[in-house]
Amino acid sequence: MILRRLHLRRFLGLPDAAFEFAAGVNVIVGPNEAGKSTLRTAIRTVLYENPATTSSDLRDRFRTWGVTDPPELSLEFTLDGRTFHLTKNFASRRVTLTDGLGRMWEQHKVVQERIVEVLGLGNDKVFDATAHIAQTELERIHLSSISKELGRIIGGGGEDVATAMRRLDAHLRSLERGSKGTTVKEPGLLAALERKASGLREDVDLLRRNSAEAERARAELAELAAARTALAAELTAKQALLENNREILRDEERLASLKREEALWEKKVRDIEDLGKRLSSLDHELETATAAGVPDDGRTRTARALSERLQAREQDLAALRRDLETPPPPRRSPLAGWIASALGVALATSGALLRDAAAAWVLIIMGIIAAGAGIAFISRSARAGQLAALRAQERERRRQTLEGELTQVRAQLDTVLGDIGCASVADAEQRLQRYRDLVRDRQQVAEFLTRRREGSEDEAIAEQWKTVRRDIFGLQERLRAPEVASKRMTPLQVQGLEREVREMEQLLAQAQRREMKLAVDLERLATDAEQLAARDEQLAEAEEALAMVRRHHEVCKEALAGLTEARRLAEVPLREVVEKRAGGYLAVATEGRYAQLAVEQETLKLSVWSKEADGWVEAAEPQLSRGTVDLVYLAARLALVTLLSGGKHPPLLFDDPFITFDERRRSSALALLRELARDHQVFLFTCGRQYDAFADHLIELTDRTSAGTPTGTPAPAPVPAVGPLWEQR
Amino acid sequence: MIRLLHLADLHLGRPFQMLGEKGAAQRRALEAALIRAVDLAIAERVHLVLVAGDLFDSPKPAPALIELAARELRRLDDARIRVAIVGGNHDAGPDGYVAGWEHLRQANPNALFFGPSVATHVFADLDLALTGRSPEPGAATSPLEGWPQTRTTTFAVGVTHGSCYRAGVVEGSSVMHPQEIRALGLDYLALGDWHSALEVHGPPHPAWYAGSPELLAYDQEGAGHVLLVDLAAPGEAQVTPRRIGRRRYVRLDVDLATNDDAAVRKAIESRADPDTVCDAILSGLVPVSRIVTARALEEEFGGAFFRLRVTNRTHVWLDDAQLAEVPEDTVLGRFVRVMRARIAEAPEDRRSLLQESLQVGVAVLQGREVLG
Repeated sequence: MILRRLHLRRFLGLPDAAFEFAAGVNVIVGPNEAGKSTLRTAIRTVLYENPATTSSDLRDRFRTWGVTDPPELSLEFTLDGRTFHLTKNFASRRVTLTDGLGRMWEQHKVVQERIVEVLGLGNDKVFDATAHIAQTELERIHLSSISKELGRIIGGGGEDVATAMRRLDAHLRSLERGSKGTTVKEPGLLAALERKASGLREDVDLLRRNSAEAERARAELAELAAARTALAAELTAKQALLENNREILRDEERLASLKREEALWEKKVRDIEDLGKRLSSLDHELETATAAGVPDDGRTRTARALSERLQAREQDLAALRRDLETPPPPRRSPLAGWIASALGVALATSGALLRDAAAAWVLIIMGIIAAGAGIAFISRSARAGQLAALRAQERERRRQTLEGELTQVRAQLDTVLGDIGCASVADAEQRLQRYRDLVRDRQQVAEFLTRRREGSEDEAIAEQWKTVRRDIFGLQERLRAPEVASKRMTPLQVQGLEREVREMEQLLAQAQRREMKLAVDLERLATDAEQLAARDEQLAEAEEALAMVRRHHEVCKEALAGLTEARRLAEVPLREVVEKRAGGYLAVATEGRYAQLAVEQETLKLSVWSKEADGWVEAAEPQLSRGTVDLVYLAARLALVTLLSGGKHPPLLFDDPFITFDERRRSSALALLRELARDHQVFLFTCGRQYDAFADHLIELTDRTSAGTPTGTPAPAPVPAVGPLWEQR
Repeated sequence: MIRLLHLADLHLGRPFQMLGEKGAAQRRALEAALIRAVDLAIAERVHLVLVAGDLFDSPKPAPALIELAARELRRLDDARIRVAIVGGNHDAGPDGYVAGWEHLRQANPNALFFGPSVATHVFADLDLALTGRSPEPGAATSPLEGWPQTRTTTFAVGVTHGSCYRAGVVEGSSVMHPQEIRALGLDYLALGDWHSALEVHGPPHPAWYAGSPELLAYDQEGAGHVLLVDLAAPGEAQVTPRRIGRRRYVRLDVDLATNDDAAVRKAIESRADPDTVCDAILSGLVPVSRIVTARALEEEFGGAFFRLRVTNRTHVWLDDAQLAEVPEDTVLGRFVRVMRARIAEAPEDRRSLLQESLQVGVAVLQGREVLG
């Protein structure tokens, strides 16, 4: 790429003018404030800045003071024989790139891609770090600016290798997050899918287990149902048999009861018949008795009374006669009384004679008592005799009375008996009693009959009896029926059957409880086939997704492993290339004094092989002189330009880089620049005139009011006796 | 003329792991296919429906499925259409009959169920003898063994379930041989087991597989049919496949060597249909820089299909000319060469993965977003 012409308008105070450039070394000379730095900035600006930026700071940064509108820059350059025009108008915010064929590009992104493609340096920072070498920046290799670019170059794909590998590594870690047993808040895709698949697998296993359990429960339930049905049928049969036998027993009891009832009815009927007959008989007898005459009750009683009186009198008379015939009992003699009295007197008198008062009184009292008793006895005896005589008189009078009464009574009696037509009182009484008895008996029989009838008619009672007899017959027939008789069991057998039925009822209840439990289990375990199929399908989908993610993970792992190995294999030679190239440049610049250069990979610190020190020496003061250090870093930056630009040849801008060099060093440095000018367009901005003869094209900047005055293309300076870079070894 | 409807391998209740969450919808489609088959039988006024096995996917189908089949059998009975069913290798119960046959018989007392023993039923009004048999699990003999080879009626038809002999395919001794079929001399033999409609023996003793009325797996292009069989005269059966299935299977082969990404997308999109199960196979040689993400295509277009499966069988094109474009002194160049060597050394089943790793590594170095 060769810059041919740069036309500036309103740019940082430079006059609106065009600057002509040439291939090879362009020396821009001028005093301070002449605009050298501005021109250098303009070149950088036209190559990299975006006029469409919305940043007013950026647009104002390049604006000439006192001018309203932002600048406009136009660059004509050639590439591989073709001419291109690049215009960046910060006022209209437009950029255009046209080629010789009339093609135009107006999108900054597209334009910039093409410019970068040509330059080989991706952005202004990389350009500043490599091709744009300022006076005071020789030593610094802007690590942060170029490392990415270096990585991209080393990568070869357009993306910085380290960034690419970090991205890939981060992606892998993101996928793996939480998948190695650690618990994290937000698991990665692998862990999430593994958990999902695991959960679904558990669900499916559970559903299948439940389904198998349900199947077993269903089978057991079916078996149990069949067994229960059979048991229930058998139980029903046995219960029926038991019930039949109980019914037989009841029937037999009822039969017995009916028979008893029938007997009672029969008795009742018979009783009623008997009573009826009896009543008829009594009626007949009463009729007979009545016809024979029934004595009057009053006169019969009178007759009885008379008869009793008669008997009483007869008994009295008999008794009296007996008394009269019985000699009286002998009277008691009063002698005993006289003795007792005499004794009593004696005792009393004796007592009165005693001196002993006590004994005297005893005898006195005894005497009194004895005397008293004697006197009493004598009196009683006398009275008894009197009484006996009186009694005898009375008896005689009574006898007479009684005999008279007897006769009277006997006459009365005969009269009464004649009235009632009975021979005797007994006859009358008997006849009356018989009548009474008949009446009483009839009444009793009638009452009994009434009670037996119990208010029913005889026909009804007979009908009841017949009914009971029919019931008995029916029951007997039923009990004799073959279907009943065949089921008849003995009481012992019935007992056994009852026990059997109880046991079977318990078994049936157990079976029903077991069935209910199985039914509940079945309801709990029953797996909807659709649900199982759906879960199975979800599991298959999750496993497929997991397999895909695992494969993707494996793919990325292999890619990262490959990249790691590739990086290891690539970086070493690339560093070697830089070291080799920079060593070559250094050898030219130091006239062979330092020809080997080493670059530390991470820090890009430089070291040179010192023959004097016989070892590597860091490229820094005081180990090396200022001038040598500058040359070392110049060589390194130039080597990086070549590497970073990927074989492209961007223009190199030098801002008085050799200001500290002595004549000899400067000459060597210029030789180096001449070599570089074979492949690169070199711009050397300087205050001094020592480079005039060296320039292929000289531009003098006198002041900011005029464009640089090209002074033609002087003859190239002689090339020092140092061959091409690659022949320095 | 006697008209028959031959269906088989409905596999009611089948799980579809391959369809993921769409499995339930496909099961509903199976159920709808049975209803449509009965609708067709009624509309075409067939005399006899032959169900040649695997009505259900399991010897213990869900009660709801048995109830569905019962309802449809009842409809056939109401329409005075006879039906004969054999069990298959999936749905035969321990007694050898189709699962739930007792319940099905209650729904349609006129339905015929054939068990593991050969049986022949004569439809006197049709002057047709129907011989049938359910396959016996683990049997060492063909299901056609012991079938009568003489006829007592004008028409003789058979129905059974099992595999037929295929040249070059080694199977057990229970396969049905063409000679057996020929020897039976039937006017039509209704078969079940294979899931694509197929004639396995030609006239005058045709034997057909009806195939599944609905798609059961990815590669069944011949599924989705029942067969209408017209018997105008003995030996003159006319078989007409009638499509009743809803889903269609489409295999789409796309060569990425001749189709760019836009063309691939267009090819897939052109087959989009809510009832299509599409197997898109991407093949061909692709440059290292061209990454084909099957999953991304599935996610993008999957919603327009019933199910879309994109399989990447491309191979990375990496010859010396391609390598020459990648400088060896860059990490990219080294990476490509390292991976190329690994791919060459890897076993066959690992190469695809390493090729993808190569593409991912290249894409990452190029700053492209492929890690999604």
